[in-house]
Amino acid sequence: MVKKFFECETIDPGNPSSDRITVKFPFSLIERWKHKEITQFYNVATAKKVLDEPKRIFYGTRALSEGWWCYVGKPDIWYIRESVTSTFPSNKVFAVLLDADFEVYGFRSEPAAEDDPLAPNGWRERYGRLIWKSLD
Amino acid sequence: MEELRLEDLLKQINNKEVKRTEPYKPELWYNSFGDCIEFQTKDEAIVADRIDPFLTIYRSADDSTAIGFQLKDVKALMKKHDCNISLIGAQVLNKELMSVAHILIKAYEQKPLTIRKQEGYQEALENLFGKAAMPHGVE
Repeated sequence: MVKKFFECETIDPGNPSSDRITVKFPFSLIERWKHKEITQFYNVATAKKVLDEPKRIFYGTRALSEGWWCYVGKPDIWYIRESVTSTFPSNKVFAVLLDADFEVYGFRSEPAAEDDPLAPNGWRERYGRLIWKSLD
Repeated sequence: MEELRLEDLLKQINNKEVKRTEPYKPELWYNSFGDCIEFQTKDEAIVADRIDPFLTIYRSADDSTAIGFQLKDVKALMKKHDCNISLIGAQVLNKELMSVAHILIKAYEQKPLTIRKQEGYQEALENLFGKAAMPHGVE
């Protein structure tokens, strides 16, 4: 079966100052959320905002799988249930999770780290490397 | 083939076109794109509480109670511990609950063992089977 995707662009972690790269949202995953976890479906918009303007990019997010990525940002709003929006909490970050082929497989909020409010809690132990950080 | 445009999807979201038509039913499922098993008891925003490299507890953004979990690197864990779960499409069949619990316990046994880790795995099992099935203090 041919996989279908929605696409958007984000910073290329290999060359942040050059053209952006394409990341993919699997169609079947979005369909799943649309019919089951509807809050997650609405937060596709939040994930898109984070990919538009990430604050941190981490590499090596899995213990037993090579090459996976985490893009982290600080959106203004997010969906807390179905179509209900709320101000995004100041003490949290929003993490978008991607596999080695830059296909998004999930996203969620996480507590922000004390030593870096734009990174998830425990980032030093959890990830292989911080690849890129925004200037702000 | 029909072109899939993210812009069209975002329009549906902005216009709040997607509505739930029946009550949310918690369902254990296999996310093949992330090689992870996921479970949520409520459909609401998630705050992730990472317990260890394999288990993340999903907490309610409202009150921090555990409302589910994500178990990562499922295929690698199954291979390492010679477990077998029928991962059919995006579904984990209900009859496989015990197999999922078995993998959870195998992931738990990876060192180091800590109190936080014990509490996290207990919360995952409580979510999966209900609190009555997992009294505190039972190991």
